[in-house]
Amino acid sequence: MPRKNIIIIIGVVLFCFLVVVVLYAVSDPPFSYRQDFTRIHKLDAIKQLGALDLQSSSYYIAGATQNQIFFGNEKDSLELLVTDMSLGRLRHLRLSIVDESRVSLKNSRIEVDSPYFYIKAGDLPGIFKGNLQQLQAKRILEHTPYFRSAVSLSKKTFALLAMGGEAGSKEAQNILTTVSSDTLHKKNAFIPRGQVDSYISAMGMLRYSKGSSRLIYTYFYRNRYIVMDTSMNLLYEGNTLDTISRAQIKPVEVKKNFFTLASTPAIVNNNSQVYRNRLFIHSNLMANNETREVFDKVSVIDVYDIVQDRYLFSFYLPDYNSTKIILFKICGNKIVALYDHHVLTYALNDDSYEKDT
Amino acid sequence: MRKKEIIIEIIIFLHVLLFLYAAGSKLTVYDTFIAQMGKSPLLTGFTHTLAWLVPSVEIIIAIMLIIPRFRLVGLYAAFGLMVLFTFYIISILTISKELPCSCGGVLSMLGWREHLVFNIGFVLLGLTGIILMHKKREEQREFVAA
Repeated sequence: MPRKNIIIIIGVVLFCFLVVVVLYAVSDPPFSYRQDFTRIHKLDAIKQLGALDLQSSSYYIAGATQNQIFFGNEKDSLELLVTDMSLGRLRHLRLSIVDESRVSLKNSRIEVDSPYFYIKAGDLPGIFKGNLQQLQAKRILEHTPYFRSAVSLSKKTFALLAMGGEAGSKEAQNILTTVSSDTLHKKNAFIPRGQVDSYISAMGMLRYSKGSSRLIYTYFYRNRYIVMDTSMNLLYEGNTLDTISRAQIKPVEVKKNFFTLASTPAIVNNNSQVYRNRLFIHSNLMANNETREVFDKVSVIDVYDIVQDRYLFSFYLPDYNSTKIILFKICGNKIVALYDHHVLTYALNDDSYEKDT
Repeated sequence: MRKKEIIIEIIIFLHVLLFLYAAGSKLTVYDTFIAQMGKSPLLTGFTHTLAWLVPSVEIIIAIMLIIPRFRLVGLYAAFGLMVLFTFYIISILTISKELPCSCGGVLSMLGWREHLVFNIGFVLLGLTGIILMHKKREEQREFVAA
């Protein structure tokens, strides 16, 4: 082939390389996993206790006590799986709803607060309650609005995360509210502030700590969490370790007043759980004193004190069979972690527990 | 000479097939295509332009490959486009590791790697086609000169 054409081919390749380099330079600089903050690593924080294969990836953790762990099934709304804390004695229980046999429980979630269980169906909407002896649930709280998630505060009161406005519209909002069978007309509401947009940037997880009577809302896409009392009064807003204070979101208008996202937002907080005065956050971001090699093989949990408002320490939950943790729950000094279809239990060594109440 | 011609025909045919299929599939799911490109950290700001530009270029190249006069130029262009796509995939694979979002797009990591192999295959195919077409031209010139 003549030399002239070889030069043309090389020229084409170089040109293409240049195009990609220019694209990189011109595009919004993507920020990286590694942020400029430092973690305190507690290396002896956990010890693995047991492992169990649940055979299906559709289970979620419905509750945990000192002695038992409960799992719900995303594909079967009335199935309740129970094991001991030692992961033995696996039993499949079947729940039923009294007086309403044809109600659709798609997307519902079971919450176990021994000796009671609740079936929370935000799409119906409806909340049903039963006890673990008879396994029959009856509807409670006649006038709940549609909700995305709910947590029980007491036997008669629930905190809800609902959506206001139409999905995808500029008016969409997250609304935190409480519903009680005593007070049908009085509703406390808290609306997490948006950044960039009013809804997606303010999305988060609602959790309740019985031990400290605190409601916690952890944002997905920014480094903050809100601590409230059971009447939704704001106690304080806490900062997580990392530095992403603004949700990285690019909304794009599809039609008048409606928009979608131009790219997936960067997740700051994957999951959060509370127990007594502790907030455990499964963070998605790497600290400046961590390495990629380690970070890729573990899930990092940052622990905060939500009464004293301070960061305590972080620990790693190692991947199991190359999968990261999907869900976890803390009960006492035990951690129940769900990896795809495996559940693992760990002992949590948090000596500071003893010092404060 | 016969063998070369057959191989060139096959290479051209595969390219036309690929480009028309690629252009067609992008145009039939236009909104999804824009949304997918929107997820790319490299293409910010260009999504709407690329949405019509990429399929158009693919169709133009396919037409060039069909018309005998423009075949060689078309092969160069096809080669260039595949090289460009290949470099793009390599950059996405490189920077995606650093991003805490699923910006790599809808395809999983495994899907991206297979895509890369497929692209490199076509780059080599295009290069082969270019070389063979030049050889054929040289032979034709010798034939005429003789």
